[in-house]
Amino acid sequence: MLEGIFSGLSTAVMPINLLMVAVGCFAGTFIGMLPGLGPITAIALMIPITYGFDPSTGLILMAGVYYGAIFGGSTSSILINAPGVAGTVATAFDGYPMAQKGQAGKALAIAAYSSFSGGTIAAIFLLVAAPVLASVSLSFQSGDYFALMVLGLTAVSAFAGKGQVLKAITMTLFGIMLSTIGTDPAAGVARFTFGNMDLIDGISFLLLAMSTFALSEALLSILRPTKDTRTDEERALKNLGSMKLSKEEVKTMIPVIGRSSVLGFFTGVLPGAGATIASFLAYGMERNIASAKEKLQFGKGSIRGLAAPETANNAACSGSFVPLLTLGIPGSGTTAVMMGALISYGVQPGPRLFVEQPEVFWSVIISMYIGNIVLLVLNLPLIPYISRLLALPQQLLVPFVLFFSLIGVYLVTFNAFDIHMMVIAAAIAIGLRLLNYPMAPMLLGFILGSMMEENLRRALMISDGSLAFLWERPITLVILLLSALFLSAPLVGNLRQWVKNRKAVPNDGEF
Amino acid sequence: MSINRDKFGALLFLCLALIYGFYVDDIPLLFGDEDAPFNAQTLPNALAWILGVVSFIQLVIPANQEAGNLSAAFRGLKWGRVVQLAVLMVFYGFTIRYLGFLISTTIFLVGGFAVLGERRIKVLLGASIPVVFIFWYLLTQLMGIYLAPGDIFEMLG
Repeated sequence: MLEGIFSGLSTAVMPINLLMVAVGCFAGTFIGMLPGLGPITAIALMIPITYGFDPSTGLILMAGVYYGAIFGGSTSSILINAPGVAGTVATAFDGYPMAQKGQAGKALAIAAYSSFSGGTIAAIFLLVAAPVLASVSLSFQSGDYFALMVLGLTAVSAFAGKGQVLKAITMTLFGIMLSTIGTDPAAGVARFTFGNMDLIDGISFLLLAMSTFALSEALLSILRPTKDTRTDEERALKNLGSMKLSKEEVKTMIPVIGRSSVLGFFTGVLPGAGATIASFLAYGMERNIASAKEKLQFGKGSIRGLAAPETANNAACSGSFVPLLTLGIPGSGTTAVMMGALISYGVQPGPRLFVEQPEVFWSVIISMYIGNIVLLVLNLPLIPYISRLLALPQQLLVPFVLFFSLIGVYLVTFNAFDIHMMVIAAAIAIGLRLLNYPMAPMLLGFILGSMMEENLRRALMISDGSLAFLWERPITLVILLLSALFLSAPLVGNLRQWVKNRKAVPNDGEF
Repeated sequence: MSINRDKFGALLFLCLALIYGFYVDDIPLLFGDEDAPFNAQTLPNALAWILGVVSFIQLVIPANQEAGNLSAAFRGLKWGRVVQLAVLMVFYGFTIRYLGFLISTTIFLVGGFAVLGERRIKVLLGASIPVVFIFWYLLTQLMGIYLAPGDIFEMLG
């Protein structure tokens, strides 16, 4: 393991990789600050740039973008109460009131220190947990992998939020359906290609990610114009105030950071949970354990209320790498895009990655530390300068986003059909977004669909067509039971609510 | 009459499940695969059924009033510019091979800026031409990606 760590360290500190972490953090912060564009778009837009790089460098750049985008989202949350990313919504609860009190600089500093600490502590957890899990998962069989993928997909749906569970399940199924288009890898027969040769290889993951996120988000910003917040952001940045923290404030933050890092990391490891749930959980936990006097401060600029979600969302970002790197199963839309990129570099994430390409495995983990340092040392002081880029007017920004998305996909195949396909996919994505369908479960379904089919096929072949592989091994059974639990919990909750409502109606009618 | 937004979505996906399921039988099977425990039709068949059941459940359960009406979800949207940008993207797809990267991308960017309301010639050209050239230089000279000149230049000799 030590050998692997040193190999990863030597890869991560190569000048090109250090440069990529810095570039990634800057680019991510900029995109994260833009209204309407999230980390998935930020990472997807970077993929074409990484084609010429080796896998470690590419993944390091994307990890930097991921952190940067979350940090950029926090900046918008604190300064103008407009979170660019769902994971930073809870940051605005106390960050924005602080900024309104003229302490924007202090709020940004607390966010940066908390993000740095959360990310660093979680990266240490990752350093310990990932190799252990990777070695355990080496003994996994096809049936276990099938069960794990079912768990990943059901968890994503279960954590989708109130009223969204069925929609998330629908989108996951839609994603798996899209993955069946093209040649069946085992039988070699064409499925749903309708005689079109351009569909023989199936739909590319990059095409789907770019059109459903980058293209559709850019077009939606035109379709449903929201208030352009960039001038407000620029104005707020001119009156930052001091970024220094007092000893008292640091003392208050330390235990919060410790608790929220652990909570954030483990929430991030869970497939589907991610940074958003982690930040809300950490905020709720801090408010619950606070004294009655401190509780009153929550929502009015509490340091604890700002430090907790910021620590947790960054820790969750690191945590979400655990299933990706060790099991080859992405737990979120963002890590799904990273996995798509890795596969396009010819690297298969999973337990074998730890054995076969330790330099990729370890350099990503090491670069997380470096990314956190870059965010703290370079991004925080440079925030006012990065924000100047926001002055780029929307009528110039949107065509650039469209161009980078289209050309990124075109450069893979040099097939103009892909550009037309992207327009169709973006139009469908816009329609589905307007109907309030979440896009991330579809991407996960798409990327896991073919792997799930392959593992199910193999497991069935080995067991001679018997479904007994589902319960013969305790681990498979436990994972499947967990999936059933995840799936049934929100459905049972909805059913109970429905029964309660039905009972309430006749009573109401009596009056 | 306006349908609930969630119900409309469920109806769409129910139709998709039916159409997808209808075409599953068109997937050719290898000789002897019909009786195999898992063949090329197994997963698509299962998916069609599961999606059908999930959408049906969503259709029959009580409507989520928070979702609102379909017409409300599509009201007040600025379709004009989005449709123009979509046409521009389709046009870009048609021209990138014929006119080559440099010309087609410049046309695309200038068109995009113009659709979104930019009218100053200096900005239209100043924001597109240098970016296109820098990007072309990065791709061809630094990253070693070959970008063929447009077919039109070959035709012109």
